Amino acid sequence: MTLARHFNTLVCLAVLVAALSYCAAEAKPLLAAMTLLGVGAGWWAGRFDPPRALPRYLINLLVIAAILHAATSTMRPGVSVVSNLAEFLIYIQLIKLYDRRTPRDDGHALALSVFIVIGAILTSNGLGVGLLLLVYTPLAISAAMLLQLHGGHRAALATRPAGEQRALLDDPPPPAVGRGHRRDFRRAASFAVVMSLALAAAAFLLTPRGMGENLLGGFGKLGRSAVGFTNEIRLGQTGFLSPNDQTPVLDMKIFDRDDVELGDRLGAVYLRGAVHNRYHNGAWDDAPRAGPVDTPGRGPDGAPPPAPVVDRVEFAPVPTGVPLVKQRITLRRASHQAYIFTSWRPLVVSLDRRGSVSGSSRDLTMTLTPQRLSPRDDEASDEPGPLAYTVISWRGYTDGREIQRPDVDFDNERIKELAVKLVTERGLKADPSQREAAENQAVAGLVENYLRRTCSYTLEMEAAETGEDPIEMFLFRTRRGHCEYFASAMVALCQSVGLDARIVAGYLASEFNGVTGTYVVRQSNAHAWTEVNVAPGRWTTFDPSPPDDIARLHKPARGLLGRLKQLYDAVELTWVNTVVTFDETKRSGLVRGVDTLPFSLSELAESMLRVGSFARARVFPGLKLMPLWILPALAAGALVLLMALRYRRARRDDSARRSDRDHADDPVLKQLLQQASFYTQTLDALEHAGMAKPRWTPPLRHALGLATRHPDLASEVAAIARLYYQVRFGRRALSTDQAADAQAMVGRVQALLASGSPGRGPDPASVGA
Amino acid sequence: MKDRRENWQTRSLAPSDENPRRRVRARRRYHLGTPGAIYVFLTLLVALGAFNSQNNLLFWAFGFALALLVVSGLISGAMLMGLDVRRLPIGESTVNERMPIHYRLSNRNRRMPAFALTITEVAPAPRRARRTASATWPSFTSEPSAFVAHVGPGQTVHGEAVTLPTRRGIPRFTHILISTAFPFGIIKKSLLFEQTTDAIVRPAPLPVAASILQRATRQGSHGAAPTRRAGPGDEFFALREYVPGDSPRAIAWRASARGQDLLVRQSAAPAPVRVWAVLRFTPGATEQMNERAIGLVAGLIDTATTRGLDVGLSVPLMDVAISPRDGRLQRERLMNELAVLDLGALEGLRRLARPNVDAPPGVRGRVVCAVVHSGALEQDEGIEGPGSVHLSALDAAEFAPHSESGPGAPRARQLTAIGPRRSTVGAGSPRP
Repeated sequence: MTLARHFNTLVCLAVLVAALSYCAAEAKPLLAAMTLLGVGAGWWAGRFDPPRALPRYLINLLVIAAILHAATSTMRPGVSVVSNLAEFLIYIQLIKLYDRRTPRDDGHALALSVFIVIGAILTSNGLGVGLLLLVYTPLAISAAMLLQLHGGHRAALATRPAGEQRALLDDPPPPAVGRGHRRDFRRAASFAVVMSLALAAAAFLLTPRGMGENLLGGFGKLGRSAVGFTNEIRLGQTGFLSPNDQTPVLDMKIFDRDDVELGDRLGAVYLRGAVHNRYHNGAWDDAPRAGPVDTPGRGPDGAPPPAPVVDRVEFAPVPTGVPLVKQRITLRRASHQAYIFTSWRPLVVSLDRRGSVSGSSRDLTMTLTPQRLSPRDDEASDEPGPLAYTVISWRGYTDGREIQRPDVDFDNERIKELAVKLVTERGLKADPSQREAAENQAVAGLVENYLRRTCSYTLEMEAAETGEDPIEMFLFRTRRGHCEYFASAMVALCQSVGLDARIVAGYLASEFNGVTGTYVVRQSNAHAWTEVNVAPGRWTTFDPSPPDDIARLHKPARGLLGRLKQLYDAVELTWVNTVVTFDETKRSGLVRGVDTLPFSLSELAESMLRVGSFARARVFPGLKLMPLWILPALAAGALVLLMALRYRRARRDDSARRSDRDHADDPVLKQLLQQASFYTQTLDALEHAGMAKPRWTPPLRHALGLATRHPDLASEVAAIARLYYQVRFGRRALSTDQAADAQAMVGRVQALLASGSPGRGPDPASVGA
Repeated sequence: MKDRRENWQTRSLAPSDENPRRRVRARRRYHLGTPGAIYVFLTLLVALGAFNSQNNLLFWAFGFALALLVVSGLISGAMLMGLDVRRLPIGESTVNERMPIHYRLSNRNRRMPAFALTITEVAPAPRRARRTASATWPSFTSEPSAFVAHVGPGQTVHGEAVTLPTRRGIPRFTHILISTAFPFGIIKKSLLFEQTTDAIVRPAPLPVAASILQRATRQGSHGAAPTRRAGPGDEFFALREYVPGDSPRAIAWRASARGQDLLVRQSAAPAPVRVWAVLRFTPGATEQMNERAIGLVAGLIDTATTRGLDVGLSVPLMDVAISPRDGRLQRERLMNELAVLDLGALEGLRRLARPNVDAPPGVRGRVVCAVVHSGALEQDEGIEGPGSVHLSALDAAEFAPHSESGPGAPRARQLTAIGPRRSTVGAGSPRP
């Protein structure tokens, strides 16, 4: 019964943690809550032996419902196969908890949990998933080990003759075990967990990276991209835009011309990534434009020449006497053709890592192919890894070469009618040829205000009806949407009245970490907005999304919670730098030796120190004066103390169990021995005084052995031993007087031991005299 | 015949092998079953995904999957190294009744405990087509399986497998297999030990109504010599001196008058009824019919023993003749004899023209014969005494106690009437 109960608890915990890891990866709190309830009830049902199970027909109905749910989810656009499958498996797993008729069913639940964990890994590599995997590992290992015991026992019972089988399975006898089976199992499980983790770490570190990448397309790649920066803007899809991906993307510091930190004086800062200006069937892309394309990475004919590997790109000479802004940006994981995010038109871009830069200075977009950070070769590579760069900008800079007004138009009559109506109602001219250049700013502002006033912000994405244009749907039917809808609508309205406008995708940096003096930009800070060419060469940023909603969405956490979150971010940064971004370069460095490690232990130690300092300064300010090493020392000390206490308790438990087992079939003796507590008190006192009785020495002999050095003590101990013999072997209960005498003798023994001189014998010399 | 009986008696007391615990070290095996194959497939899938996507957590999962394989091999390999198993002697059992098999499992490893050990029997050769009384266990019973959850270092634990034999005979257990899938159920490891033990499975007694024997004893051979001990009979045994407490009615007044003392007349104890259970294998009877006849004989023996009668067994064709005695030991002896009857040798014995109709050897006392025919009743054969009862195994169901007042009862009466038509066999000289 105990075995079955422990097994049930472990299986349910493993199942729960596996499901929670997926919920953490997908940020699905509702599913997590449902799983918690389902597993809790399943645990209750599994406490009975045999476990309570739902009727078969109900189980079948539930499975059919889960299949239907998965099928409908599959037909919904935007839902990845991995997510769908993992969610389906969670439902099946929960159903399985109520259909546990044999240990094999428990094994199925455990196997499903493994698949769900893999689904979580395929969904996210976040720290939360990693931590839950760490919890899952010992649970799953222990549950799998118990499954062998539980299942083997049940399987052996099932081979019994049919007549006694039912009775045995209903009330199974305990399996044949030797002495100390619990202790042995704990040791075996601990060994298995520690060895597995150690070997897994070794395999993780030694497995070569980079081999076979992309051989199977997208197989095994992270499936979720519902939120975050993407250079593709596609409207009209359904789903829910999750704002909960708090993965840090980049860190940014801003300086002035004299390298003085500006902190957060500039407020929220737009970081531009991709720019699009042509709309077709719900998607935005880049149209070839007139105007200068002077990026060093592209030739005048548009064909990409061999991109030079550089570490500095100069777009224009740095003017003197004007206020400049320097942005120092660290991309935490720059992959192949990483976007170089900047806020303003760059004059100079300096790279910490050599690479080939390509892009359009007209649209102010740049991509960088970073170079391999290998100490051995200089070949260009697309290995992902951290990338830092500095951008020098002049906020008031305009490109005088963009003097011609391009012929822009948005090909949608209904939207054009709306745009014309908006402009003419305010007395402005809709025809760009008749409109003054100074009025462009007013027209753009008018459109921006209109959208903010008439449309509302939502994270729910709604599909357009058949034949319906998504921007039309947003402007005329739903009037609800997220930032891409607002920006797209503004670009469409502006282009409809001849204004050159473009949609920009990037990040809105609003979370400033005062301790490190950096903006922390997360995936959830991804945003889309609009730029309008209000004067030749002068592009102005407009953000038609409702400012309150945007501020609420991008608002960083405050208070203790916020500080803890920052602490978590720092730990996650370490996790990302050590585990998630572990690549072939780091691995080969590790194999070669510590000296050549680009990711070295010192980096890890530095990260940990940073986390520790921050925790001390911000989260636990009371510990500010305490040296940093004290915390780990205290933790280590507490751990050692805990283990010592555990060991002592285990020894006592073993002794008590042994005693119980010895007297289990002799209740009379057990009752008699309750009178002999005076003897154990004496043994304890002797043990504390360094005169412990060896287990193999009989009590009286031990007492007589003390006589040569401590005759008084020995006589008392001998008297106590005789009383003990009377009870233990004579099986005679002590009278009231004898019990009182025994306690008095114990007191005298304790007093003798406490006095420090437990009755030394006479000095031989004096005796001789 | 005598040699054969001695053989199984010896085997039943101790394992028949000279070296009962011969461990076959070369027979350590690893089996990758369905769970293991699924695990390996999953590991490969994770590896493919990891290398394709360079997803580091997938690399971690891949490393972990490999680590579990290694740890599984380490633990189970070390676990099985010091194990030793011995099958304890198997007691006699009966068809369709539980037959427990006990194993003593020792772990000689000084540090490593062993977990989740399944002990099963292995038959080295495929099941033989010809079923004989002595064969490997698969033709007798399903696979016995015992489970020992834990054996600590240096400890010995006993495990029990219970199985249900389906036919009588001497099942031979030759190989013991210890297997475990501990710790993770990925790979099943096994260790084979060689130890031969024979068990005895007695036939299941068919129910026989006590009235069958009662009728037989009523018609049995009377006038047999009284026993040579005093008892509550009618025949005179001896005179002895009166002791206080003797019944005055027992005083032999005439004899007492001739002497000085009072004498008391003692009666001889009545001769016990001795039942011979005779088994006749009818030519042409199928194996099933013969087995049913054996079961019927077992039922007769059971009933006779329960009623305190002396019972013996005679199988003329196989030269089996065990004189009637009473008691539990006699019953077990007869049952064991029935257990080892080799039906496969019947044809050979018939070809040797062994008589199938020999009467059982004579004994003192009242003798009745219950002759069980495996086929239809043979009218012309039968040399047993006038009290003999002839039963056909074809009608075995009608001899059950519940059928005494039912439709089977007249048939039983009719059968008992066959006896007096046989030739008379005098008491004390059963042979004609």
